[in-house]
Amino acid sequence: MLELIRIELFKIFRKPRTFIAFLAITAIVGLIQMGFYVDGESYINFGMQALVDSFDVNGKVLNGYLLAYIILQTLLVHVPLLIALVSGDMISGEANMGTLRLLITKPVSRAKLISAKFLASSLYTLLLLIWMAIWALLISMLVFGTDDMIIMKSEVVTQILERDVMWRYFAAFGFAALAMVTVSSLAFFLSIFAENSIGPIIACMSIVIVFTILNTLNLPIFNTVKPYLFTSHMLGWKGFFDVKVNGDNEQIIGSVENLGAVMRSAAILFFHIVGFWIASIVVFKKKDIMS
Amino acid sequence: MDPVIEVEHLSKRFSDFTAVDDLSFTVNQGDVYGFLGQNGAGKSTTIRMLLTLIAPTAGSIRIFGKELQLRRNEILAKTGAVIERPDLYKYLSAKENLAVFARLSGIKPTNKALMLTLDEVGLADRADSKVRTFSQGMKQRLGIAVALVHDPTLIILDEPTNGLDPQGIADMRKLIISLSRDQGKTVVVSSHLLSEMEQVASRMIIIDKGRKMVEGEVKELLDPSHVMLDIETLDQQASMTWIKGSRWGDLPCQVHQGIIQLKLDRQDISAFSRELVNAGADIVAINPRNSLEEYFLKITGRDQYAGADQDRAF
Repeated sequence: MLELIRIELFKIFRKPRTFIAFLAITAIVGLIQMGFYVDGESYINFGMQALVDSFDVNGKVLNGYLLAYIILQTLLVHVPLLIALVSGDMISGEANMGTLRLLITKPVSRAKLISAKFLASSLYTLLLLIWMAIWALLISMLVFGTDDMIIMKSEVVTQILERDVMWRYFAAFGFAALAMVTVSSLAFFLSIFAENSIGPIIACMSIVIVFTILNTLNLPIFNTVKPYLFTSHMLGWKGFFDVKVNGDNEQIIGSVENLGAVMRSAAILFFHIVGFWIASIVVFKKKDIMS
Repeated sequence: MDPVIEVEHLSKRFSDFTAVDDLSFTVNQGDVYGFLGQNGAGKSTTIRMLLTLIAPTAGSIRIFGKELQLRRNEILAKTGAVIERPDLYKYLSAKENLAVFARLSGIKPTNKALMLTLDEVGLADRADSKVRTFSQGMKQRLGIAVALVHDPTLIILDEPTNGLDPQGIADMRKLIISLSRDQGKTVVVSSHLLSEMEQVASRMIIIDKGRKMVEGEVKELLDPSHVMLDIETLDQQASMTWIKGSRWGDLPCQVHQGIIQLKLDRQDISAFSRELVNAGADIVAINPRNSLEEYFLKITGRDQYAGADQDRAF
């Protein structure tokens, strides 16, 4: 199995399209960092206007931690497209090239072949997230420095102490990886039905967009299905930045306000991944290869 | 001879269309087994079932004495295949493609072994070139290398001469014969080039509309002593009159689309040609018509001449 995964990863990283996602993330993160480097102070001052009237704010509000949060919030909506570029091509691309029929004639079971491809596309997704973490978090920390992290939401302001931030990012990136692997799994599953990669990529993005729209519509008919849509849980990583406070309104170090909900979201995403994996194997085992 | 492939009552239906219908045949060890049939006759569907690309609707396939459905990996480890177009990873080099498929076949070849295989198909000097820069013929040769890299005992070639130039076709013919005679491998080959098939196949099956028409030794099925001549002359009417009045007049003879067709003993060809010239006929061409083609048309009930190429396709 390891050999099969190695072969699949080798093929993924020899395809030029694989690097589009890495380049895109580097470019977007770089642009955001440059924008904040040049004009970030005025942006933060504008956002903090109401806060500074009532509180004395000291230290670096615009620091690497805050910027990484902003980048994650912006990018995780668009990264699914970059992921679908590769995952949606895993089977359909082989069918389109005509190499799928040659693969099937090799002494490897279809279940193993699909699993190796599935795991390879998931690994690619994880690598993309690691790349994103390096650029969004580590480079931001180097350029903008570190301090306590202040997150402004519509009704509350959360201050997370500097020493309590880093583990939250590890957890958040872990959760984001789970969310992105879910998208990757969906694109992979769809790629089994097509003989060119455009179809699965567009279908995957359409599903993500439609589900996201359903999430935003507060109608009773949609509210019943929302808990089951994977898109409802994809932003669960933000939960790691909601902290508990004690009676003096001080942050409890290492706390997460609603850990249960975060873990439930993670479990739902995980079940989606396993579901798409099993469905991919079942469908592919029965498929006649006509390409 | 031990049977390598035993197919019994094999059928494949797609919705309301039956591509293969109750097909049974046996391929013996060391055979070069020709698979003949028109486009859409069910050749590729059958070959795809042999390679587990398509699941049969009914029937059984035993290869190396084992049920294909149950011992798939074991069987495919000893099988090499080229299926229609030799599609490979265009973004990888020839050597990388070969290495990928060798590893998928369960072997880890050294660089030397890969180069040796590429050398056998004449691609050693292009080992590091991306496949996207290859011509169709080069891709076909690389496809053959991929099929042979793990030293299989059964080789299945579906239209292996597609896209090859005359030299490539001749090389392919030599390779198939060598695989069978020198290395004792069993080769199943389908081709639309009947003359090619006639030259390489030791046994053959003709299928039509998914059903077996005939199966057996090529030598027994064909009548090598007689040949159908296609005679093209400037004065076809006069030539026909001469033939009818000559000592060849009793032989089966007809005119079809301006070409005289005469069936005669192979050893009489030179004598007949000489006499025709001496009779003053302006000969444009005399082509011995492919005996396999003749046989195929007879078997499939399409015994009507359809063109003038010697290597006529179905």
